Amino acid sequence: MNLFDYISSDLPSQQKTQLYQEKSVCLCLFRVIFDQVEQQLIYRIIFMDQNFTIQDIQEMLHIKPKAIPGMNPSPEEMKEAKKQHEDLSEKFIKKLQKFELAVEIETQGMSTPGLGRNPRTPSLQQNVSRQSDIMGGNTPILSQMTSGIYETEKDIQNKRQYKLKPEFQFELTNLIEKKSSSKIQEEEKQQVEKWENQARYIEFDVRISQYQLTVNGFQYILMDTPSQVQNILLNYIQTAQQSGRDVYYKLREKRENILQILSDFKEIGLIGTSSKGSQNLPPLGMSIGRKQKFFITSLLQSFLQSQTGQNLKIVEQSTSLVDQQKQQILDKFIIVETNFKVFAYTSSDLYRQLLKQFIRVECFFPNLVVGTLTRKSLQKAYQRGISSQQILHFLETHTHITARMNKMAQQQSNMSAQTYEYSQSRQATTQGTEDAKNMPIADLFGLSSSRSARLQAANKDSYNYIPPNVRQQIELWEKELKSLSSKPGLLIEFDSKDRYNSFIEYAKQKKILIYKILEKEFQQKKEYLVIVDVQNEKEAYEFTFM
Amino acid sequence: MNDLLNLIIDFNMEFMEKHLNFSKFIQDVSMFLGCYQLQSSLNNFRIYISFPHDSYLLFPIHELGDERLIKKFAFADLKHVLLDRLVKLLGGENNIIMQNFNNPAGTVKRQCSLSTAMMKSICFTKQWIEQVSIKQVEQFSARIMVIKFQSEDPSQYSSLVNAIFAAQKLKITIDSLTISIDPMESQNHSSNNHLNGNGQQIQNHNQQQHSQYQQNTQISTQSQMNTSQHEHPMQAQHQPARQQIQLEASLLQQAANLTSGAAINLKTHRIESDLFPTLLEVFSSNRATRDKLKIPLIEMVDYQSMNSTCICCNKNINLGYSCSYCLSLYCPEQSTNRDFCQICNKKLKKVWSY
Repeated sequence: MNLFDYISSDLPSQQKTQLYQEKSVCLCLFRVIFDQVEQQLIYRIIFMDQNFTIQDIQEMLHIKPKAIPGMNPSPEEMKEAKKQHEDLSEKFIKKLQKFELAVEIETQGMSTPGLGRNPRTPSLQQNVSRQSDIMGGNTPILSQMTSGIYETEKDIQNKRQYKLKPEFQFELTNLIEKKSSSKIQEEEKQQVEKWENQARYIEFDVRISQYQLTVNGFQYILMDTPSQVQNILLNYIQTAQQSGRDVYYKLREKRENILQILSDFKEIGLIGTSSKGSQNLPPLGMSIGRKQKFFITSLLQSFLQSQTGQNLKIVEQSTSLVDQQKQQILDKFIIVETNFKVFAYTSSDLYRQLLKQFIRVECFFPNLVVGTLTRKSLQKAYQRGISSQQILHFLETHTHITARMNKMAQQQSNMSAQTYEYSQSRQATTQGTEDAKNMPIADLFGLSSSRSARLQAANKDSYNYIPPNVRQQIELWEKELKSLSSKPGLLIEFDSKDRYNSFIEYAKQKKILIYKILEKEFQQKKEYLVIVDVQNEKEAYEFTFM
Repeated sequence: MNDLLNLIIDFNMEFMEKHLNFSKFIQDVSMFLGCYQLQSSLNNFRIYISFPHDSYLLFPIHELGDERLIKKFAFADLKHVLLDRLVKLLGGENNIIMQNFNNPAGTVKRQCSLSTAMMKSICFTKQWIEQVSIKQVEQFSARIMVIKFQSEDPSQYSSLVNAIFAAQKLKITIDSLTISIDPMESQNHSSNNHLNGNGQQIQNHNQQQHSQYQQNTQISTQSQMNTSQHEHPMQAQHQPARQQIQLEASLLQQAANLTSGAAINLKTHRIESDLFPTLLEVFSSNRATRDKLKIPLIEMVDYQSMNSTCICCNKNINLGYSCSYCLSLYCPEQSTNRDFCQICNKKLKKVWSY
């Protein structure tokens, strides 16, 4: 059931009146139920200070008969236009009555003052009369079809007076004039000040007799919304404890305290309540009672959402499947091309920063990041500790749905080609040995030169959406960095071979790690070099200075 | 349907100082925009303000976080935002706007550069149309609404005409509201003014002017345009002079006529009470909706009474010579010594001589 069905159902008028006291409900009704012409009619009615009739509505409308330009409309065309005219105005009144936005007023047979007598907007009166003057003294064409002396039933119906519901009129006028009751504004302001003072975000400066922002307050402003909500909750718990309310202990014990805490949460909008008896939407003006059920509001949901926008399990039930699917689609935004170009269709700052870590970004657009996977950018990432597997996994999991679909389509075509090849090959074998002479030589030796075999190999990476050359290159660049590793070592030179041999035996005994043994000829003299691990430096020094 | 309204306000400081309560004016404008925005969540608007030397976008400015304000516009107050921005625009030490205004020398231009504002709005609208109609494949309706406080500047004639034709091509409706103070109001008070319960009054057209208007012009709907026949300059010279001030076919009226918009000349001595009702009744609806509503002052433009502007001397002329290539107009006095067209550099050769 949506809002409009709910309002047009058998709700008591008091509830409807309460609903129409909400700006958002009035705005919703105004935008959705009424079309553009009817919205203009409502604007004219709102600023009238008095009741209106169907006749007044008809005078505001002007339906032209569908005639060929330059020719006078025929009586039938005029009749049709008049009928449209009346239908529009009646439809408008019926709509107002259906949603109880207009109430019929009993006039007790008195003649009713209409729009033409004393409108609140003088221009309307003047301009309507001028319109008739412009027509050269002739009243608009449609009014020529009006009836004669005796009033028909329709004429009587047209003269019934209606009045817009005051709450609806008031809220719409306030929306236009942007007025809100000063009292509410003041109360809200006082509440916010009280809370901010309690949380030490503002403090009252006696010298200037004004509230000033504190360091905590400034930090609070810099936070994002979930962190701010978390801050509010923490502040609440702290202040609750300070006021003597042991939140955790009481939660286990007394139900009244739970209700108190839940009512506090309700005040800050984290949870809502629904009365047990009502089957419809929760009524306005909620109050805590014993038979109240609580539900999580969207504010708490957003607080519980993680950074990447994935909902935790607690609120999974409350989010719709459509939202989850949408979220999943939003997470898939990367296209990697075979020329190492990366296109990321995202406006999320988080993903943009992530991509910057290993991509050379070429340009930022509102919903697109274009970059290239280069040796330099990837090796920078590797030096920071990011591995190629992590990068590849990130790119794969966030591959765009279009790329995935294309890959799947390609896979299917490969499969169909494969089956065709298989059937072809079966036919070939049944034909006999003559055809064996026509087989490629590579196949005879078991090497896969046939198309089917190649397709099989291609299908092996069917779940890799990144082009194989890009994948291989990323891994190669990582290996390139790792191809050379250096460690500190100690170089010992020996002049004589005896000394050298004795050190080798000493090293074997003391289990000294030797990296390299070199025998060099330098200026017709042999040199014996040993490179030893730094960890065994002490033992090496002991030998040399022995 | 996606709707875009570009509101261009002619910031005529002289007029505003003398006749206008500026705060009330901004309030009326923001209320009108509130009415416009209330109609649908797909309605968008932009406000340009036009000064003598240049025009500026007043709202929305994305760098200032106006997107949030737009989203919650139904509950937010636009008046103070606009006033604050205007104060910042007009404040500051090296402010070109105030220098121009305070300069007593007559060399500085007093008329606002409407054409720049129109061009800017048309450029944005084109981009918006492409986004809506091509990328989103949705219907759209775009409007430019001009609020002026005085007659037009002849020096901007050619640039305005270019803007108008560009708007016509892009199917952008041009509406105009020209506000002027009526000095004849006190004389006509007894015969023509209608009073309502609040004692407010709006000036009506004079009965005599009405009958003369009916004799000289034809009235039809916005969509049925009858262009005047082409006349020989010699014949046009002898036409009776048309001196009806209210019915002077200004460029903006012609623009409204061409683009199926509404052009209203609001002559009143109480702008504060008359502006908002006029805005609400006439300009809050788009072209499609106006066909079904009884909107006043839908007039036919008498092209026979229109004046064109000479390109070289920027004077209004009733008779002149036109370049056969670019159709730019030259007054007879200047064209005798002219061999080449100022706009397209083509050789001019006189066709008629008298």
